[in-house]
Amino acid sequence: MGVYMAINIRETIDTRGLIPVFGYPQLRAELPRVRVTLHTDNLAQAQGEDALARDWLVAMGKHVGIRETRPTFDLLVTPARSSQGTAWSSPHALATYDVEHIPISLQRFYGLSLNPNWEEMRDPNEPSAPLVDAKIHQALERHLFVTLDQSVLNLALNPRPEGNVFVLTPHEAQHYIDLCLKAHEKYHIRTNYTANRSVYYWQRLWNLVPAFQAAWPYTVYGAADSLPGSAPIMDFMQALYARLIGQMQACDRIGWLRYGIPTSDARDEMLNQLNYFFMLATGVFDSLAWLAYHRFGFRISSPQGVTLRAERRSGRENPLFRQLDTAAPDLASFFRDRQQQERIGLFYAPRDAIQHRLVLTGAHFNSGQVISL
Amino acid sequence: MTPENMPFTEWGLMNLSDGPDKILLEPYRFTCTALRFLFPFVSDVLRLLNFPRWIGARPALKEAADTTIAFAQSQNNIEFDVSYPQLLERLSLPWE
Repeated sequence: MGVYMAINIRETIDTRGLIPVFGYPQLRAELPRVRVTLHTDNLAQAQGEDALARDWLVAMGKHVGIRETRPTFDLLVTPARSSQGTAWSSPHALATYDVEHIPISLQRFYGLSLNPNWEEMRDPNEPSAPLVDAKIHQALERHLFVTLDQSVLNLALNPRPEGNVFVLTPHEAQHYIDLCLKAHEKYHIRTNYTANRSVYYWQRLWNLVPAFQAAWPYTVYGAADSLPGSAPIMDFMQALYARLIGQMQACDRIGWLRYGIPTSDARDEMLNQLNYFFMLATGVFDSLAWLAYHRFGFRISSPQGVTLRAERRSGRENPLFRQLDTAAPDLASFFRDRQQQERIGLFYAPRDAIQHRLVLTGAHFNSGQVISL
Repeated sequence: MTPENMPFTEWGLMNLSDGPDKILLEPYRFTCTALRFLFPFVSDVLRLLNFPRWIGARPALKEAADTTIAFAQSQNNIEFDVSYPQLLERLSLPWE
């Protein structure tokens, strides 16, 4: 009854004119339990952005969110064999492999590899400590092994009879986990600070397009005071941010699909998102062209003339640029710049095909690894 | 020139040998690079549109807007842990 009433909005609007937030089924998206293994001895030496990403992975692997009962993902570290590895891992008090769960076939090499001198002692045919760690990770059906060790990273790329290991650098792993969380409705701005999707992308936009922070209030105040052109300017500013946010969401979805098994379903969804991305991109250019048109109060007879594409039928000049030459010469030069036009053109060719002729088609490529093309 | 271990350009494009019109596009690489181009592009255009001058015709209105902008900027300087959009460096293929 509650659900029925809630979804019948007209019947349930409260006295303040608000739609009630109760009465809906409280379904929650389940976050997959990603099992991550950090390669202790190797990552203890990480520097720069990889060190930051490593620390983020540790923080996220220990973080228990509000209304959650366990950390964001399941984190283990490989045993420390070097003094550097011990010095880095000890303060974090992170769990390592449980010997009882290590398959018998690997227990002997695991025990031997714990000797700090194993690399010098071992027979060339015997596995190195990083390889033992990666094999145990795989045997325990853990998902993601994080290291900067090239020999282990290569395991991901060479087809192996027992299946490949999903190995990423800390920086890549950070992005993978971030994409995974977003794909499952968890939007982390910081480790212990989450937002809903709307706020998350809005904040991203404000960070990434600094001029938007200033332009937006001007358009809001201008519209409230009915400045010339203010109503359409407000509309096109809204269209602009909606399109940019839509593009960010499409990009994140494509990023997550890229790490999935390359099936025809994944390919179809990726193409769908890509087609949409192109439409939004040219929509962004259109929004900017119309903003310029209304901002400077231009008159152009044909709407087709309000475009950022310099290329016109032979002998015809872009009428928007021509009027900008007088009203805002810096902006006219900016749009006319050859490099800018080449990049703008890069979006219009596929957009024209999608809109008027063919949609993009795709192929998926299964390398047995996570890199899909 | 595209390095051998990086068959796609920065924009995630690769020309195919069977025709000048055929281009292979790696979607994630393309969309990430596209956003890295679009964000500063949009920011530059908004700056060049010079909205302060537009609203400056009404000084009281501009003052109110400036106050709001200063407040909004002080509230919206949140730093994200994870950079965006991602810069993709590693893309080697198993047969290389």
